[in-house]
Amino acid sequence: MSETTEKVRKTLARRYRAEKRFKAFGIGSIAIGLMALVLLFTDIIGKGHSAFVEHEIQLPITFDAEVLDISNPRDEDELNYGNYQGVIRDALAERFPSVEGRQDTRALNQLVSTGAGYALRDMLREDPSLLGETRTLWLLADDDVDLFLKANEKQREDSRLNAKQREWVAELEASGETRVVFNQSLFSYGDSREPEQAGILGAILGSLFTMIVTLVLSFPIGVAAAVYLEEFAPKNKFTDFIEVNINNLAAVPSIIFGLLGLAVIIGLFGLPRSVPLVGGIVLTLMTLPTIIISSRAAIKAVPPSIRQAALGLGASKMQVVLHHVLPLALPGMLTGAIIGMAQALGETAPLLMIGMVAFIVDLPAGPLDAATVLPVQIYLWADSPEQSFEALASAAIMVLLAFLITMNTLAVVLRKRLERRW
Amino acid sequence: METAQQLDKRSLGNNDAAKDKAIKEQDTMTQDTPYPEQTVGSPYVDDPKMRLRDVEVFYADNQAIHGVSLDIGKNEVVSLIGPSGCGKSTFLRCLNRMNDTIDICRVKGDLRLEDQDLYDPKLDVVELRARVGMVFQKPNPFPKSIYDNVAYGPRIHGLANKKYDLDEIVENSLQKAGLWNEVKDRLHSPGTGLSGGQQQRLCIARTIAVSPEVVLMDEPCSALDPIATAKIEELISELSESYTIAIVTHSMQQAARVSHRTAYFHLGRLIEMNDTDTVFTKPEHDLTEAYITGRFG
Repeated sequence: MSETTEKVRKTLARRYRAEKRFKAFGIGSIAIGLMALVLLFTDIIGKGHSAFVEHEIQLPITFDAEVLDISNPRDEDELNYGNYQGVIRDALAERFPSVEGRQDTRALNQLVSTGAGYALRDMLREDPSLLGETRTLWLLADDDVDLFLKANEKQREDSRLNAKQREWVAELEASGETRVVFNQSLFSYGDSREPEQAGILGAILGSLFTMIVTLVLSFPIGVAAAVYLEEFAPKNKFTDFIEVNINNLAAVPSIIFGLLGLAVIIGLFGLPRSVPLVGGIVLTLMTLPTIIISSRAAIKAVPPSIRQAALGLGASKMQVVLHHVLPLALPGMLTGAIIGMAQALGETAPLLMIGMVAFIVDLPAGPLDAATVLPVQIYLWADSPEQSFEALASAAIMVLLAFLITMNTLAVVLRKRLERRW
Repeated sequence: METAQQLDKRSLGNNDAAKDKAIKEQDTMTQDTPYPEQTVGSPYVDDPKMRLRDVEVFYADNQAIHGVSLDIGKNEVVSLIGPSGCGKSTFLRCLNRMNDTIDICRVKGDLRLEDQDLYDPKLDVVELRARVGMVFQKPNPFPKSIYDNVAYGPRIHGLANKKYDLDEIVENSLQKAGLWNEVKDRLHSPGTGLSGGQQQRLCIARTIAVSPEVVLMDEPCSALDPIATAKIEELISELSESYTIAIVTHSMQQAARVSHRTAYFHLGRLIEMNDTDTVFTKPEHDLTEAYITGRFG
């Protein structure tokens, strides 16, 4: 055995130990990351899953023309002004005949959601022959009733329902006059003061319009800027200065962009408040640096030999860029754009500044209608006093996370599929 | 953040200026032998295809080529040899103005293709490169199909109006490059899937598809194995019947095999240029002799 071999042997054990330590650190870091993720998901899903279902109460409803004050169910006006709460009140009174006194009657009437009346109206519009008939129907329960029914024994003690209401609900529950259904309103309505009628469709649409505006603006601008800086711009102090500032822009706190949007886009250019168009412009400013930086990296990764080959054949600079550089850099650019969009989708602060934080019940029909976006909706609900909104906020977070995960997966898949070898 | 210099290095691929400097510091052997006042041998021919006089190239303040004058005759294969960093690639890249892509590079002198001044500001460099094609050191097919690789040049220059004409150009070019029989059944598979030697012949086919008058080759075989090299060399001999070829090579055997005349470069100067046989059997200058006998390189 030579002297060198002996020396090498001596160091081997130490080297392997160092390697093992290094690996252990890596595995430890990943474990911490995964734990954080699991914690986040269990917490959000634990809180939010109950918001995907809601309770209904069974009641025999009589569509009494006199109580409803409707003579012709085909007349839209009469339909809209019908006294649906009246028939629900009558039905409740019939179900619990022993209830007397103003206070108790009011407490009883609170068991059913105010939204149930609209459901009755829609049924009557569908089938005018119901007028005068009696039907056993499932009506949406009030959010406090819903919470009470979802809660376990211990939690029920903290319910906002009073003693009598608890008794009535327990009676309904015991006799099978309550049931759990999928919460459709969550995905078909906008915001509401009543948690059981509040939905995230308005926020989803708002987010969608904002994202469309952001994508349409930021992708072409970002790619064009990156191509110019990489392929055409002379290398001098001025372009260095621009480069430094693009990197700086990426580090600017997003709320500053919101202030800029408020001062310039709304203040100076007079665009309306609270609309996805302005939100999209503000988020474009925020996303641009991400897209420019990732696009430049993608362009730099295109081998110079390809450019030289095309130039050597007599392609003009423009042709080199359009025929060779852009197609090869596109997967990287798309990945950057999707990640930038995912960032923008989760952004709240700048949108608060431009008024997209308003309470908006109507579904936006376009980028010029007042709207809010998913993260802002979460913020609004998390801020609401009603306990049911807590679950709704968590449910909205789950929906937002689903969108983000989908987008990031798309980015990975696109990169894998479009990746070319040379 | 990348600095301008790094970017330049990237677009240049190799940094001849820096190499030059390194060689100058290292190379003590050649310091004893003086450079000739004028190029030894016969750098000029009658009725040249390319007439190059007093060519000087600077990278920023660093002079890479010192007053090189030579002619390249019609249908002639001229090989440029010399130690690494002697400026032969830089010189070659002046001939179709590929050096334009390097910001800090300046070219002086009188360079003419027939009567056309290459550095005439009115000259369109796109047109020039269609007349003077280039094959690079590393095979660099586009990540497209074999067909599209060859068809790219004719397409951008509008050489073929019909699909039929284009097919013919592609077939002819691949025939001339000796690749047709190997790829005719898979014209639409990617060019990057070919072997190294096939890729290089594809690049040659791509270059001649635009029917250039001059083909510049920058060490076209340095990345290839001996069999692929032999094929390319054979191809060069065949191509010389219809094209004028200037080839940079590190292999003296290759220069001896393929070229009619050979130019020996040393530290940015053209030391000697003569018929290939003369250069390799009776070199006139001591530096040339030292190089071809392998005393340095």
